[in-house]
Amino acid sequence: MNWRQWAPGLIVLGALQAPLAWAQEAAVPALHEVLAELNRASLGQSYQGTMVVSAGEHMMTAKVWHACEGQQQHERVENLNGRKRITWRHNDTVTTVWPNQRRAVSRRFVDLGMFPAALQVPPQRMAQHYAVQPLPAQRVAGRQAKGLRLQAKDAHRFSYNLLVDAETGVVLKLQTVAPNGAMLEQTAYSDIAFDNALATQAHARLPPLPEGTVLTTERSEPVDPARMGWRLSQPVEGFQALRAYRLARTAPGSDALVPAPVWQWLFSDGLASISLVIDQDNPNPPAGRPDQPVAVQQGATFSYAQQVGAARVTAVGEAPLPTLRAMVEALQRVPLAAASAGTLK
Amino acid sequence: MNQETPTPTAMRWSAAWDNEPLDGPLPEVTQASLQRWHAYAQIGQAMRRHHALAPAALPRPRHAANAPRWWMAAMGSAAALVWGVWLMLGPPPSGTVIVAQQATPSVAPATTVAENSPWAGVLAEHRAVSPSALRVPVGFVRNVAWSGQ
Repeated sequence: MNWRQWAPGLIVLGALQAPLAWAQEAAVPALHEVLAELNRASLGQSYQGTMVVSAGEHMMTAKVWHACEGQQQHERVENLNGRKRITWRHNDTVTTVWPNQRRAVSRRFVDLGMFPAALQVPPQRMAQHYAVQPLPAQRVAGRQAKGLRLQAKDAHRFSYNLLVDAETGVVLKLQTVAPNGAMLEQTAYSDIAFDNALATQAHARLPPLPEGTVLTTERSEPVDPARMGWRLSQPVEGFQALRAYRLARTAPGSDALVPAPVWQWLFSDGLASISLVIDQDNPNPPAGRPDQPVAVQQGATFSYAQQVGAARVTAVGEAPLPTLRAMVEALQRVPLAAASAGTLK
Repeated sequence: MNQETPTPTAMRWSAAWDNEPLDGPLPEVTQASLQRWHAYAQIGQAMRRHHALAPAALPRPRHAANAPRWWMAAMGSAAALVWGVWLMLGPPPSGTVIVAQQATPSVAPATTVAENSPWAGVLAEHRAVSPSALRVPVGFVRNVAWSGQ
């Protein structure tokens, strides 16, 4: 058989493949469309369910009530493992109560990853580092779910598998996948119900705290890294600085806020976040081998700590260890005078 | 005894083998005709081996390995191979930070880290403040679940 015999067949096959490939590509939404849809769905629904978080051999469960009343969002999360702890969220204010210890902490966050504040990183820039791929549909928590994969385009970040409720758009399952394909952490509803909005709203609202509960208030104070004498020479590609702050909390029996000894510099590529926690003057580095870096993993969250001069710097985030290490090594101490001059410009 | 004359059957099958048009269905191949064809094939092969006779049907000509088209194909393959290797091992685009390649410290799993330890505080604080377009509301629940250890 010579080429004249199979060439027409090949041309016909190619002509058939082209529209098929185009149709498949057209079926996959753009990244910004996916994120907008996820956030829209989560903000417009009231539901309750049981969520399971698993990583390796470890598994935690929590009961969730999520209620939306107009612009008001209420959420209650009660962990079913370990020490009893209930967290209520009303928009950006989070109150955590340890009933058995009669202790509570209240804090107002700058943002909790709510849309559109979460998208301080422009979607166009996010699309440079993640690609949307279709995944097979599955059944999760008794409901039909559409599958999507947000595939990292390089090894500096993790990929995400999402299973989204076909009817409401709520994320039913989230898997964090390492560059080598290892499943780092899974979060999934084992059951979820959208049918009793009034009961959900009643459960999701923060009740009066039990008498005798000691309430601590926390607040984030903005920090200028340059004025603190630090700069990042070159962050890992795709991660941009969002804000820096120092946490302050009231002392027991007092309304005065006491600042924490460390401050935190937050970076994000839109999906993953990295915090650089800087203990500015740490005269007592960890005993043993203080010059040795230390790494810790908790599910999809990694942490890398290293001594930088007199400061102890800890990078923590949902990113591979080499990425965290690169962030720490890019951190540079600059003279305070130069830093101030640079800021004034 | 089968009185089949080999010529029509053999010619028709030969014509079919060479993609020549046929004016009817191919004749049935009998055991006798197969044996006869085998005998003729062996005789023909022996004769061609000794160059006593030009082969009746020459094999389709093949292009020599030193023909220009083969050189072009080989060079194209080599270029594709070099390009592929360069893509894998070549320098990254400008602005990319090469993540440290040297040995990293061993990772200690902290799934059972005590709630009041410094590590737990750092991990929990990061999860509390880290924004992500995916973490609504899954991430918030995830933070609570991990912090509840």
